[in-house]
Amino acid sequence: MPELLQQLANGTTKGATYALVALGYTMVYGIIQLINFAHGDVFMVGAFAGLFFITYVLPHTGLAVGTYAVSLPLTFVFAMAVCASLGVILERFAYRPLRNAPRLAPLITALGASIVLEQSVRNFYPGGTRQPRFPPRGSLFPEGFFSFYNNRLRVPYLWMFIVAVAVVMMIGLLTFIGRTRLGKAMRASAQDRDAARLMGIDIDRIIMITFIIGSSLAAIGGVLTGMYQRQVDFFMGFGAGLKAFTAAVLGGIGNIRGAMFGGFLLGMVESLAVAYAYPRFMRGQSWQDVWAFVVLVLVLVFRPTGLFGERVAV
Amino acid sequence: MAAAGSALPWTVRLVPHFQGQRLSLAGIDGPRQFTLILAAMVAVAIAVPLPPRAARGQGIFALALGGVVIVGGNVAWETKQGGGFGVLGLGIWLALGGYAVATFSAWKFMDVSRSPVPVEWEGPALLEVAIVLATLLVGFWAVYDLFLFDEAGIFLTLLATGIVTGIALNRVGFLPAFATLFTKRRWVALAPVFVLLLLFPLTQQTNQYPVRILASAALFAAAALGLNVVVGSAGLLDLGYIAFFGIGGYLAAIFGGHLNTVNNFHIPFGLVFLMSCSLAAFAGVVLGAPTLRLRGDYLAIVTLGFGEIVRRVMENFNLTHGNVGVADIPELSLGSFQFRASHAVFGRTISSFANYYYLELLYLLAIVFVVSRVNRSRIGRAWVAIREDEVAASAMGVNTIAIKLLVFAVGAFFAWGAGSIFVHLNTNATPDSFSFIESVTVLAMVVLGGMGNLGGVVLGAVLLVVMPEKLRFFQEQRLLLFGAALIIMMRFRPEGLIPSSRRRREFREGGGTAMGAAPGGPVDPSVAGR
Repeated sequence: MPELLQQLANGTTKGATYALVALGYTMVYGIIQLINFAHGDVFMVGAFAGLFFITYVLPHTGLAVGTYAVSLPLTFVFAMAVCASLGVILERFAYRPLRNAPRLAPLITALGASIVLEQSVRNFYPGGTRQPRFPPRGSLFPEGFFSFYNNRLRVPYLWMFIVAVAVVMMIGLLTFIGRTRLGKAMRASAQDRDAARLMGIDIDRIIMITFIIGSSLAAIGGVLTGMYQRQVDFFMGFGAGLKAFTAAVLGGIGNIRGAMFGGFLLGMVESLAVAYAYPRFMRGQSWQDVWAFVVLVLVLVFRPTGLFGERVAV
Repeated sequence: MAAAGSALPWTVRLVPHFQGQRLSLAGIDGPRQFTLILAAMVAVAIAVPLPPRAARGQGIFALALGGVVIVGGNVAWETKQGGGFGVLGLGIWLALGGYAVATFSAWKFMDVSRSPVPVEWEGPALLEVAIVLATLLVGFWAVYDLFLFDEAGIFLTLLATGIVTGIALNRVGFLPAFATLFTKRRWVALAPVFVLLLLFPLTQQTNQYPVRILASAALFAAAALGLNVVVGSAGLLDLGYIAFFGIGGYLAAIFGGHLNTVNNFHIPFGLVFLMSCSLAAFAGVVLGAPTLRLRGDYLAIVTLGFGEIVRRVMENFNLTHGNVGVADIPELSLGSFQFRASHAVFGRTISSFANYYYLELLYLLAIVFVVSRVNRSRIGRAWVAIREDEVAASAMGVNTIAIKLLVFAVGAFFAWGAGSIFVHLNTNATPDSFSFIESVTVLAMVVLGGMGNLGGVVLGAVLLVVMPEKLRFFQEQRLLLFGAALIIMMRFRPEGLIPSSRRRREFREGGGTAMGAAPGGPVDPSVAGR
């Protein structure tokens, strides 16, 4: 029992980051029907931007070590700003010119953008060819954990923080989309782009805002993942992107609540498979990704519209 | 116009000043020659009366801008090498200035917004053949030089000159005329190419490296042709295609006599090849069957997932030796013919790589033959019909399920064969050779060359294998350039270098059908008008 709960807690934490990234996929797909392959790499850039801020900027701000309440939000804001600008640049220069081209063209552009982002980080981030490490535990976030069952189940504070941040972001997003005028315009654009345009909605602006929101969420996901894994890698965006996409598909692509749910579900499935998969030799960390992709293939083959159906705005 | 005319010859006259200056790469005057040629072309473009509707301004603009880029590149290089602007002579500044003035005046005073009108021309048969052969000759000279040059700077300059010339010819409207001419005189054009490809290894007696590059280019061309059937003909976007290449490779590695795996158990390559290929078709069907209901983007993702699963399994499975891969795969032998050894023909040696090269050329030819025949058959038409509109095709009596499975089987078959030769050529098989980036590379070969066009796909494959080898200078930034090239390509020439005519129309008319209809929205007039 403790072991099962441990896996579930672990899965929830990973799932929270998947869900954050999945939101970007699903929102962009909902509005322009593009699989933004570069989104996973925006996530990766977010992680690196956070690390950059922590290693090169924070030491100069005079903030004492351990002032988490100030330094962490600053890190998030910095990473979000970097990724939001990146999202805008991608949309403006890579995707917008191709909006009416055949589907293959933007898809290949997205692949190209993904490679460019990866390689730029690899070439230009100091030490990017190796796997830069996040600061050790405790210096960024209070170390420690809740323990249950005589210490056989441990839930670090960090995990709870990750899930909490993700949940707050999701609630914020849902409120934004459900309650504000801009959110209404986004829903309208997702439902019928032409009709929305006829109603006086500036589609270009809506698409740009979608990219900004999606990229910012990916940035938060990136920083959280960096804190969780304590090291980042220029190639991490590929796998994470694919998993987030799986999560989006799992919940029905274009469906925002579905993406959140899909993220958590995928995280748990992955964690459980690592521990309890059959055949036995397919257990363990190195098979984790295989299981994620198996889930992806199974969902797409048997229920391509996802568990909740696709393109239901909100 | 007048201002441009007066500005441009000025540039041209300045260029000869270069000869005395210290500005070229390592004392070689290569770049200077090319900029000279470029300047001459600018002069020709101004002086020669072109067809009245040709977009002369654009042509000159392209040439002159190319000049700026090339000279600018040389400025950067020299500054870096020489440590400061001091090393730069007067000539390089004059050239830079001249080209800049030419670019500016072409942009300012000539109508650069005019869209190019293809020149239509038909001459006597003999003249046409002569033109084709002459163009080929120039082409061969350029390609041969490009291929064998090891100096990165010269290579880049020559390449840039070639690209700029191509763009200018296109803008002025000559390129379409050449294209029609070459299509018309296809055999006159293809025969010399083929003969030269056959003779190439004989010219390389000392250095086998170029032959090795071509050998691997031929393999990737074979794989790309297989993918072209899946993506280009049938419109099923496959992002995990390299998996077939990989499985084929691993099977050949394991059964073809990897000594440590199965106790010196060795099956002759011919048998392995045949066995593999039928297995490949089967695997294509097995992996293809679940995806039958999916379209477009979803299909792309599922195939991507398959590709990743295959690679992860290779990494984790005992039989495949994980990340290390299978090493020490013996070189091929067919009967008593050893691929490892050199053979003498007409007093010339044919090296080990050349053996593989000929084998692959044979394989490639067989594929080209089969695919071009199938494309014109009932099955080929069914592929295109599915790509255009699956529902309509099905309504017209095309058995879409069977045809799609056939597509997957054929694609897998070709890739598999190529993969099994690949591991013998490399004498090892590692999961890294079959990663996602390789799938993208093969897809890029198809797209870059011109989807649906066999010649274009082969050209794309050759380019994407040769270029990275030539750009070793940019070792670290290679992939970065590759990604940027993909984006730029999609922006400016999405139909590829040598598009099939049908494909070109699809991409240029917007709202196309290449991968299912474009999502809603009216056709953008700026796209449609081009």
